[in-house]
Amino acid sequence: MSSRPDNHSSLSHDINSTLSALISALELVSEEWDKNPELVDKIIPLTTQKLDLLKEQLKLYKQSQS
Amino acid sequence: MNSKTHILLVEDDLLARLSLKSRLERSAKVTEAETAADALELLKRHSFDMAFVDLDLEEKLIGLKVLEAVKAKNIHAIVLSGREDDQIIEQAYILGCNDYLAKPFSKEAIESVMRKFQNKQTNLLERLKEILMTEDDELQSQVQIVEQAVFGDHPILITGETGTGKTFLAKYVHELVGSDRPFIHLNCSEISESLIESELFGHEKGAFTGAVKSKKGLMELADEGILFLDEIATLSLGTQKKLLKAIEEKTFFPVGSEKSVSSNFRLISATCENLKDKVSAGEFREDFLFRLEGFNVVLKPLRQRKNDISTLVNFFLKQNKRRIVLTAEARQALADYSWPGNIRELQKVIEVLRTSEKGIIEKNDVLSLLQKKISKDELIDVALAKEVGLATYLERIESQILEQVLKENGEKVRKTLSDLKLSNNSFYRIMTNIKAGASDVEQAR
Repeated sequence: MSSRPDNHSSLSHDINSTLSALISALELVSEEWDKNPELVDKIIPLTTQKLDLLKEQLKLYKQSQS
Repeated sequence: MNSKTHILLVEDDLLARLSLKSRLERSAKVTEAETAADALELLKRHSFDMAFVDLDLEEKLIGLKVLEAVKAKNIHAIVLSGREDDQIIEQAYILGCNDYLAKPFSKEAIESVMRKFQNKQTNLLERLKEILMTEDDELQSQVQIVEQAVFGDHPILITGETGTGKTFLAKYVHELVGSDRPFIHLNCSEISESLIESELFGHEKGAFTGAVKSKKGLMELADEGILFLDEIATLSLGTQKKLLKAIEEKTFFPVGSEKSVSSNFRLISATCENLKDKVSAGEFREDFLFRLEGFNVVLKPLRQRKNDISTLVNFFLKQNKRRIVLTAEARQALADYSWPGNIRELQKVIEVLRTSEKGIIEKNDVLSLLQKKISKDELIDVALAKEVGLATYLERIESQILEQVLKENGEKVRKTLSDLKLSNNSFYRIMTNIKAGASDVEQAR
């Protein structure tokens, strides 16, 4: 139990980092999809992976709350 | 931004690094590092102007070590982190980071720190040209004056018709010199003569009826920042004299106080009137004008920079997600108009056009909108002018306009003088005509 606040804060940090990467990526896709399709091709698979990671992190966060 | 700006981007997350790098590369050269070790190595071998540093890399918080090395080389540093603990943020600032962006952040946050960095660069001229959206040589030479003026403490006087961007420019100077400093804005025409001194200098409790407690003046509140006095031509000669002394000595007495107050403010003033003419008419102190115009920036009216209208139209069109298109003829109609309200008026016209049901705006749509404004403003009665004579007709128009604006302004004379750009002498002449007219009517009854 004593390590729970640390885990909790570390998880929040990870979720914030994942969200940040997703927001930056989607903003870029929205600006570049018609001008720079090669870049968007690189970003989309990474974004999908990141979204899966976010799902996992949010699941862990939910568990840590219960 | 200067295309040679070299940015070090230290981020272990591939997606975050790729996205940020692509955005930054639009205006700078970017070198990326995935680990602290790579970053430290790059710092030894290359020179950088700016660095974005994630705190958690191959080890937790090892980014602080990178930050230390970045600041040792006097590089502008932005920390990126999902950590929001005050202790870590404090540590980053102690190490010298210029900005700390908490994840998740948006592109606006990146744009904001980039703007801050840009403003630190000396190439202010290009930036000013960009924000004023002008290709006009004369206006660009005025921009050069602003560039010279920014980093001193000389006063700046901005002259230009209503809607030309005087307040915008004053705020931009404030942003350049440090937006964390105070920016105190007073429109001199909106304060009555009896209150303006207490507003500027402050007052002691009981200094006059209604002074139930002491109040700091705007000059004191502007300490270490900017005092922006708009419509300065409307100040009375008496207030000008007191203000002159306060500007010269940077010390003044609040109303009813025997204790002086010091304030180190930068004065920016603005007017839509020709102050030299007002000096000649005895309505403005020459020594006060001399003190105000350390740097004198003149903003041209829009009708004299027609080539900029298209750029401005495009800018205003993009201010909203609902996009409309203007045909070439519609754009020409906008370019042909005289724009008495200048950029502010153009902005409003675009806003109104955007609310139209049509997506493609044609010449007639523009003309009918402008015609409404023209017909309201410029209704003339040639037959009546012939009947009573032109001089009498013009006198009547003058009187009607003055009476109407006085009424709109709640009988406030100073605001009316300012709105109509009217001298005291002209005001009293027209008022005499109005009174004479009223007395004629009484006698006729």
